[in-house]
Amino acid sequence: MVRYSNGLCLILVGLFLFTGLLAVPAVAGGMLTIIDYDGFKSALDLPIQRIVCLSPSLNQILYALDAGERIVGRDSKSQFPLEVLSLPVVAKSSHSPQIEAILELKPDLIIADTMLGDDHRKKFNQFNIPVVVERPSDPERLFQTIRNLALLVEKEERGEELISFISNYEELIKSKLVGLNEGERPKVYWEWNKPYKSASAASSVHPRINLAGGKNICAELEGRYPVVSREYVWARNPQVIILMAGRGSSVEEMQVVREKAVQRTGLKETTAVKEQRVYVITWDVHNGLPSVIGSLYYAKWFHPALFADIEPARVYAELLSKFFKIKEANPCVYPFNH
Amino acid sequence: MKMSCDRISFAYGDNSVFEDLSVGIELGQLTSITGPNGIGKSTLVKCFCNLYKVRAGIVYLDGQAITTIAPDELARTLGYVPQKEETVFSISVYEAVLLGRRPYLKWKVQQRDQEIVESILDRLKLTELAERPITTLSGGERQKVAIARALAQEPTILFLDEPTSNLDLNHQLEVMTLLRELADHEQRAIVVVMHDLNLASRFSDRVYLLGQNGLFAQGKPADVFTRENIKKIYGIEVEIINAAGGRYLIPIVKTTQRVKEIS
Amino acid sequence: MKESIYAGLVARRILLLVGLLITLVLGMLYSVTLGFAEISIADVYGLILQKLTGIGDRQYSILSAGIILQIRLPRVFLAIIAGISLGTNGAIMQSLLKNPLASPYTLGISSGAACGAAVAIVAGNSLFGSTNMLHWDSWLTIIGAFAMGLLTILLINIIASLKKSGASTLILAGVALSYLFSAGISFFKYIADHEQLQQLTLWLMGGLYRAEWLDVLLLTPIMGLAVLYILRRAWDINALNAGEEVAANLGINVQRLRKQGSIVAAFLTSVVVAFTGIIGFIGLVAPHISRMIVGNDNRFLILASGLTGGIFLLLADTAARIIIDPVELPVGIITALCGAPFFLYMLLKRRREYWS
Repeated sequence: MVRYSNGLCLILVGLFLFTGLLAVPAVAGGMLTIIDYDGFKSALDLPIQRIVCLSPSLNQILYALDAGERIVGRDSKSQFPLEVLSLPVVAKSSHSPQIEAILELKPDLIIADTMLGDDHRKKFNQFNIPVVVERPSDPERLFQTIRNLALLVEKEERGEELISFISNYEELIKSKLVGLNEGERPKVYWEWNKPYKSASAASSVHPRINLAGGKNICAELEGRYPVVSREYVWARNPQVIILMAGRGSSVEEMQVVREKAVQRTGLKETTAVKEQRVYVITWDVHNGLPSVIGSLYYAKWFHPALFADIEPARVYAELLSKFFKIKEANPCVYPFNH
Repeated sequence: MKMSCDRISFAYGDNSVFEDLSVGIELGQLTSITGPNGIGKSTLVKCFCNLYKVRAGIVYLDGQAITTIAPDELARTLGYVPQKEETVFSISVYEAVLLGRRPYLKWKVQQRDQEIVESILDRLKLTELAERPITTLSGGERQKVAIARALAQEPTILFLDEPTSNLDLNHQLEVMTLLRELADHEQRAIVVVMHDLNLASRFSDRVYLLGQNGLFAQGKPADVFTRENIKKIYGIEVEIINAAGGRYLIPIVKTTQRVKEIS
Repeated sequence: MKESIYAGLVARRILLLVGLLITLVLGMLYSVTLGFAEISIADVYGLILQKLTGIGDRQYSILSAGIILQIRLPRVFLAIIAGISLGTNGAIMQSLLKNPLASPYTLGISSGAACGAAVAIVAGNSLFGSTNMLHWDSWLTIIGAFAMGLLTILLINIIASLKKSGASTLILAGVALSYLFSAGISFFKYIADHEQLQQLTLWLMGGLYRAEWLDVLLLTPIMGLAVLYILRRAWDINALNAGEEVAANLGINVQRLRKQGSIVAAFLTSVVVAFTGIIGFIGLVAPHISRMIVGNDNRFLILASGLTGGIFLLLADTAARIIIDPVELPVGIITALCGAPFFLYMLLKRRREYWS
């Protein structure tokens, strides 16, 4: 199923790349046919005016596409940009939408992430409300997601602007790391959610560690997010440690996360702690649109000399001001002076 | 030493069991408490042992109110054998009897404790069973183990709640003879709740007959278990026969009709 | 010949206790040699001996020394201490409630304590702010766990005294309470924000993989005092086994014994739950194995049950960390896999004795 949909997506991507922006193949006479991440095909009447969007990252993309004013309902986790807070909450997350509240909003379209269940989709379809599901946490899918949302709100140009902003920096990372030896990749231990819960090669963070020129010490382990023994981390002796903090974490909170971690028995003797290469980063710059900021930080932490001229905080500020008209960026990493 | 209760009352919630009851117990005597079901015989014994708190009145032990006596001290003076024991986790006969030494023990079992337990086992012919789990014993054997435990407390006064109710004829006599001996040779006071009036009459020095309004009659068995008294309390006619050196009550009518008349 | 009855009885039991102790020590010695890092057995023991006696001048790498002394040893000790606590606790609760199916887990006291901790985490975060909570969460969770654990055990005691309908009522009440508390936990999980949820999940999963010497240092005296208290009451608990009235006649204040025993049991459960999360079945299985081998005299049973619990948890935790080394399995999976069949066996095989 997924493979099938990926195939279709590839074709779509291919068509876009081939024909550029002049031709909009799926749009015909105010009608748009779109195939989402789950492989479901929806036919939509354009323009779409009322959108219920149940994902923080997807809401963010809609705002960046300058379509924020079309959103009429959100999930409780969507907190950015601040304008979104004035919208009614109609779900805790895509996993648990409040159907009646959503129907009352009379949306033209529901956008959700992959946590949305099939029966919910069916229920909405029974009321003739189309549903589009995307997976913003999947880095490989990000550009396609932006393109699909751009099509839905008829902001293709803005979408391409976004994509090129992101891909420029991704290319920058790749170009600086060309010819990197395996030995030059620092050993990275990445952790989220609870002590010693890491991520293997099957996880979505693994490609980012790779992209940024690091070597994930838990890549070979069983399961997507294995809990590893302290002994393993100590024996593997990571050179860089990355700890995840919740969305909107304050500097103080990140500081505490770091302090607690560096005192831990399994970590305190590692090279990373001794050389003070333990970093905390929030999910704000890890998923969706700003994920490129996370990649830039990773790259800078892994290869400080190569990326000495790059200031991820400045890039973040640029992204925010360019696409969200926000002047000041909240700190999203700790420590911020490397 | 003497034990008595002075005008005690007891009630379960609002249901009064007895009021203003006064009973005395003498050393060297076997005292039986008799009366119909539900009249408060067991309750009276439990009040004597300080297991139940009386509503009014005082239970005296040697002139001292029992509520003021230290629990361990009381445990060394009063032994109690309940009608039925519910042991959840099975222990050996030896351990069950050893339990009676609790009021004397700190932690370690002394030589003296072992000697006492062993002599009691011997006396009750339980030595053979010493290592058997008590759950594998017969009713008679378990009753003897319970009595042995109470004896291990070395009590001056021993209370037994219907000690013969689950026993066959042989064991009934064995237990009653033993109790008689304890009263006669060791000058202990033995207090027994009894349903079998013939057994009570044969082995007791003194009987208390309880009725609806508390104590109905007391004294020697021959004075208490008269045709009139039995009729009044149990509502049945009895014939009294003297045979084999004893005095026996033989019921002669159906009880159900008479009970109706009385009530 | 005569005096040999008691002496023989005691000698046999002491021998069995020593046997259990030796098993525990052997298990410990074996467990410290297992793990991801390849450290030879000679090095492991050489290192520990050198540290203990201070004799010898061999230099061990910081890595080996750290892994043995700071990771494997505290974990092994925490498993033993927590196991002893759970085993002792199960024995005392079975005896106090006169119920062979009682244990902190089956009576819902563990889940009560867990629910209390959930309340503490969520309420603590909103009262004191998440930054303070990151520093003080362990203390607050212990207090929360203890309060709710105690409440649960008092409730269980009330139910036990209200209804004299045998073992099943109490266990069913425990099941009902467990459901209630898991519903409570789910609720708190639902309303928790990201940080709180993180702490909650971490805490509810259970396990010993975070063991530190500090945990061992805190838990050992608590465990020691509790076991000491229970041992001092061993004769009283023995007497209770013969019935409440018999116990009272033997000079025991039954109500006070139950009350104090319950508080000790609740405290022990909560502290263990606060350090290790919910680990089921040890408090149920250890006392029964011990009853089978040393009998029901609480002077021996309590120690035996503690040792058996220690051995059980040590083995289960060792299995949890080496089965797919270096990935950690939750230890509760292992204890449930061994404990649940045993529980069923007890229900079916011995129901006549237990379900009275």
